[in-house]
This record gives sequence, C-alpha cells and structure tokens, in this order.
Amino acid sequence: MKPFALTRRRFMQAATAAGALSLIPFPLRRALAAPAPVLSGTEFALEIGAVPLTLNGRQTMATGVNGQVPAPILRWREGDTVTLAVTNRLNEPSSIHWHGVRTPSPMDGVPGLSFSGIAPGETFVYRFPVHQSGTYWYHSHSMFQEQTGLYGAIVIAPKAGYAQAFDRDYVALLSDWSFEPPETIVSNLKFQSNYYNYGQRTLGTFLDDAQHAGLADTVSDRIEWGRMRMSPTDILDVSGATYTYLINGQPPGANWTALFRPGERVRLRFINGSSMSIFDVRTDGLPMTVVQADGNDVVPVTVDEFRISVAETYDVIVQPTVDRAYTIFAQAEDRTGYARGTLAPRPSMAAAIPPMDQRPMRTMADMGMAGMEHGEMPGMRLSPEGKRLEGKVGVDNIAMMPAARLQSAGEGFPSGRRVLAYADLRATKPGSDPRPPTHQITLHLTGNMERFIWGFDGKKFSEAEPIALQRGDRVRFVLINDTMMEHPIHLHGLWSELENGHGEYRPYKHTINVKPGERLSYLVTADAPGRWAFHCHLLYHMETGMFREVRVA
Amino acid sequence: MIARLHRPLVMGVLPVALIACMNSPRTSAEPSAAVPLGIDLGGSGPVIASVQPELPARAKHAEPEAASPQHRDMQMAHAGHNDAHGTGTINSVDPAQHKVNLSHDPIPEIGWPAMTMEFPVAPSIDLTAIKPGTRVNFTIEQGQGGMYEIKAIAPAGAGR
Repeated sequence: MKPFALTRRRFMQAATAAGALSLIPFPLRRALAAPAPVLSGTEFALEIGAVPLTLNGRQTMATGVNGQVPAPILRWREGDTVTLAVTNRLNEPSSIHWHGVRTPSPMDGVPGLSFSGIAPGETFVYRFPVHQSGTYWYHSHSMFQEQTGLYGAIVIAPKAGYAQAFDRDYVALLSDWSFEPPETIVSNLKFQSNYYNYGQRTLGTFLDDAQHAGLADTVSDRIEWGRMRMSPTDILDVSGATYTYLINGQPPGANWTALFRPGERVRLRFINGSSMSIFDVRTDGLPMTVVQADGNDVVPVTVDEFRISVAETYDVIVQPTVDRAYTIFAQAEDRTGYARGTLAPRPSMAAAIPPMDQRPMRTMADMGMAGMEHGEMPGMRLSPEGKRLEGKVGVDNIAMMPAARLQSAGEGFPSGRRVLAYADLRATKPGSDPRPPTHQITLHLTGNMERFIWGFDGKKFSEAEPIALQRGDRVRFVLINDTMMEHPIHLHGLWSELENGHGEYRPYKHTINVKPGERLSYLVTADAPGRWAFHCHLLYHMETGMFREVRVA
Repeated sequence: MIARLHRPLVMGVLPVALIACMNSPRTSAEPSAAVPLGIDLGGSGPVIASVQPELPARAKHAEPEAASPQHRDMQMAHAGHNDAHGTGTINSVDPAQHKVNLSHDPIPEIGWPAMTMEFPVAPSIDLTAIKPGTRVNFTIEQGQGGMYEIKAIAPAGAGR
C-alpha cells in the first residue's frame, strides 16, 4: 500500500493544483480503482479522503477510506478488542459509525452525541471490545459523506464457530451512487419532493384509468391522493434518474463476479449501504437460504427473493450445483434501476439479466386504511394519538387504521416467487432478557412529503426532547408509520428485538423497516448507558428531521 | 442519391439491431480484464451443532389477482389462522344467495375497521333464525379465493 499512498498524495496535489481529473494518467486511475482489500486483525489505520472514481466511463470524486470506495472490508474476531485510528484527510469534519456494533457510547461515532467528530487533519482512535459476531458495516455519520462513498463492510467471525457450513464467503455491499452532489439532491427534493419520480401518473395514465375504472371513480381516486399530498407511485424519493446502483462499488455493466465450484455452498453477505435505496434481491434461478439478519443467526429459511431496506444486512447461503452463471439481481424497489453481479464458476461469465418487475403501487393499506371503502374516508374517526398529531405542519397524513403487516413482504412482488417477510425471521436462540417490558414508547413516523420534512410525532429533531430511559429498563417501542414511504429505523447502541410472532425467539435487529401504514413493535433492553442516535436510515429523511436522541441514564 | 436512399434504411435497421443486441441473453464471455472479482473470505470451518430444524420454505407470494391489495395485506396479517371473530348487526338477509349484509365492529385480529359488508354464509347454516336488526357474534373464515365466509353465527347476548 505504501507506493500507492505516495502516488495518491501526489495525485491529490496535482488535482488540487490543476483542478482537473483528466490529468491523471490512465494506469494510475486503474490502480486507484483496484478492488477494496480486506483488513484483518485488531489494529487498523483508516484514512478518510477524497477518492477519484471512474463509473460507467465517467470520472468523478468520491469519499473513501484508504483510497477505496467502498471502504476496505474489516475482519474482526468476536472476543478481541479492536483499535482503529481514523484520520480525516477531508477539508470538512468527518466520523465513522460502526453500524450494528455494540460499542461504548463514546466509540459510536455520532458527532454531537458520542463525540465531537473528527476535524480535518485529525486522528481519532476508536477502541472497543467486540462482543458479537456477524455481518455489519461502517459509514460516515457526518454531512452527506455516506452518499459519496464512505461505507464499508465489517465481518466478525464467531468465537464458537459458524452455525452453518459454507465453502466460500463474499461480501455483497449494495449502494447508490449519484454524479450530482448530495446537496443538490436534497435541495431538489425540498423544491419538489417528486423531482426524481418520473413514474408519476400523468394525464395519459389518468385517461387509461378512467377507461378501466370509470371517470367518476378515477376522479375521486385522484382527488383522494391529491388531498393527501402524495402520489401513488412515490415509492422511493430518489430514483435511478440520478442513481447508479452498485454492488461492491461496481455498476451493473462491470459484472462484479463471485466465483464458485459447482456443489459448493457460498455465503453471500448482503449489506445495504445505500443512502436512499431499498432493494429486492435475488440470485436469479437459485434459491437462497437466509441464515442471518442484521448480524444475528436466524433459523434458516429458503426464499427466492428478499427486500433489504437501507442499513439492513442479510446473510444467505446458495448452493449452485450446475456449471453455469447466475445473475445476482438487486432491483431498486421503485424499479428505476438495479445493481447486478454474477455468481459464476469462472471469471468473465454472465447470465441473462432479468427484466425488472412491475413498479409497485401504494395501496390504501399502505396509507393505514386497510379495508376501507373510499366512500368511508371523509369524516373518519381518529384515535386520540391521531388527534394529537392532526394539523401539525410536519404531518400530512395519519394512519387511521395502522395494521400489523409483518407477514407481508411488501408491495411489488409478482406471484410465484417466495419472498422473505419479517415474520419468517426466527432467532436460533431465545432472547437474553426474558423480562416483559415495563413501559411502552409509541412513536408515529410522520412527514410532509411536499415540503420534504420528516420526523417522529410531527417533530423534527431540533424540536424534540430526547427519549429518556433508565439503565436496565425493559421497554417496548411501538412505531406507527403515518407516511407513504418505508422507513428503516435504526437504534444505535441497543438491540431492537422485533415482536414478530416467534415468542422468545425474537430476531435481534439494529434496523427495522416500517412499511407504509404499518404498526409494529420491538423490545429494547437499555443495558448500555449513553446518548444514542435513533433515526430513519434514509439519509435525506434523517437530515431533514427524522432523528431523535435516546438517552440511557 | 445513394446517400438519400441509404439513410432511411440505416435509420430503420439500426434501432432494430440495437434492440436485438439488448435482448440477446448475455451468456458470452465479457472481456476478462474488466471483470472485478469478489474477494473470497474463506469457508466456515467446523460448524457448531444446529439446534433447530430449518423453517419450511416460504410459501409462494400470493397471487395479486386473488384479492384486492387491501385484502391481501389483511389476509397476510393473519396468515396461519384463517378465521376471525366479530360482532355486528344484521342489516339484511338474502336467503336465495345465502348471504347476509351486516355492520360489524372492528375486527382487530385481521386489522379490519368497523365496516358494513356482505358475506356469503356457509351452506350448513340455517339463515331463517337470522333477522335484520339482530346483534350477532360471528366467525369468518378465509376461503381459497381469499374471500371471507361466515362459518358460524349466533345472536349476541340477550337484550341487545
């Protein structure tokens, strides 16, 4: 890595002096784009800096670690204490958060809560014992650096050995890249929340619908959606109109390939390191056995496809027995693009890329109005909670009848495929805290889509008090999604034990995706003191207010 | 002249050729130098004894055509137990179709709000005892098509 570091520095000087990427000689560009290496052990030196990147023939600047996007894979061992010296070579503050890893609060890497961030030119030394195993990831918790490439995988080997046998092991880190600066994306969204939503229903589809459903129904349907300040095709805020979807930093055309010999069991560690994109993943033609979710073992369940929300991880094992290539296909939930890789017995093979599925449509169930006739909507009764939220500027919709939807994989899947649902996740061992919760914290996930304001209970972070817990508390969090978007809710520092019908075999998660109109709950043991971030992991939702502090005294 | 003749020809053929290229299955080799290979982190080594059997493979995703999306979600919210219990008031009885129309209270088991609905009634049930205005307790069960049918119905406690 030494000569590389030198050339990189020289490059940075050259780039700064000339301000032009085109000056970099081609071999150097190749060297800089070399695949992320793997760093193992207990001592790590990580350098955050600007990294030149060539994607689809376009040159751009990204934010990376040790000159790489994605950042290097970090391999730790359960039981070790790791030391990570992180140096910031950017000209703005930075930070690294170890997503899903239970560290002491000062090591959690959230500027303003756990520490003051890493100033330009400074080094912060993280040091903590590793008490868990599994697939996790790390990313910046500063500004929009996550969007511009500051993310990498963490693989922690279990002390007692793996529960499932496998012969090969690959990280499959999904992400979304934009050539637009994130500041432009967020200002576009603030200006017009459906800026990237080219699938928006038009006069043409209106006429189609009117022909099929009758003009009156169509008009009333449109008035309904209009009044709720939403569009039924608004699935993801930011789409393939600006995003190139990546697998391990590679665009679909690069054909990132994981090799196997027929008959081998291959573990694929899927991590969604996107800023805004939820993916539907399959190894086309090859069933996947899900063995882990968010780093924790689950009873193996075999599916054809799973939806991975932002910041979640799923480990699957596949066993291709035929000497052929299989496409790893991760289509964005709104079907505006896909990440693609290949599982192949030899390099340079490729299988057919399947067509994208139909774009999902939001339904009345997504609006928390399952089972309601349109005619019943005016004058609906609101719960007292709903009444509390009604009329706030940050709230443009309240789920009238939020429903348990954990059995549902979500919208947009064609029939005939087995798709993972949260209800399928069953921990392999009973939870470590058998106590029932002593109290309940109910939070509405709220938003004003047209103004692109997001929050909990209609309040932005800046307007809200921290959620106070006493150390040792056993609490139930109830989340009610009043918006029409999905929200992957991430609680730092403490596990979220999803109550999904498996009794004491609740899956332990760090990020829980709440579907539109959904009400779900999870249990939390406040066993780690400190100030913890609690937020939607859609980057622009977090940045526009969907963030709270959970304080464990 | 030749150019003028060729131009429409080229313009007509080129898009077709492009589409053909796009549609052809990409099983051929791609330039090997360009293909980034994943880093194999190695095998599992000896595994610890498995304590639990594998869950049965997940059922295929429900046919979207089987029911409205709302119905689908409701049915999924309650998968595994196909019946639900409700209370309501009979509005009308249709002996010919063996159906009742009733206004029911919320049925939290399946996430339904209070609604006025028509239900088919299982053939074994005698409808002559059910009169409009009667407050009833009932059990509904989801059939193959995803629609609910009343499989048990009885007047609710006296005096109502």
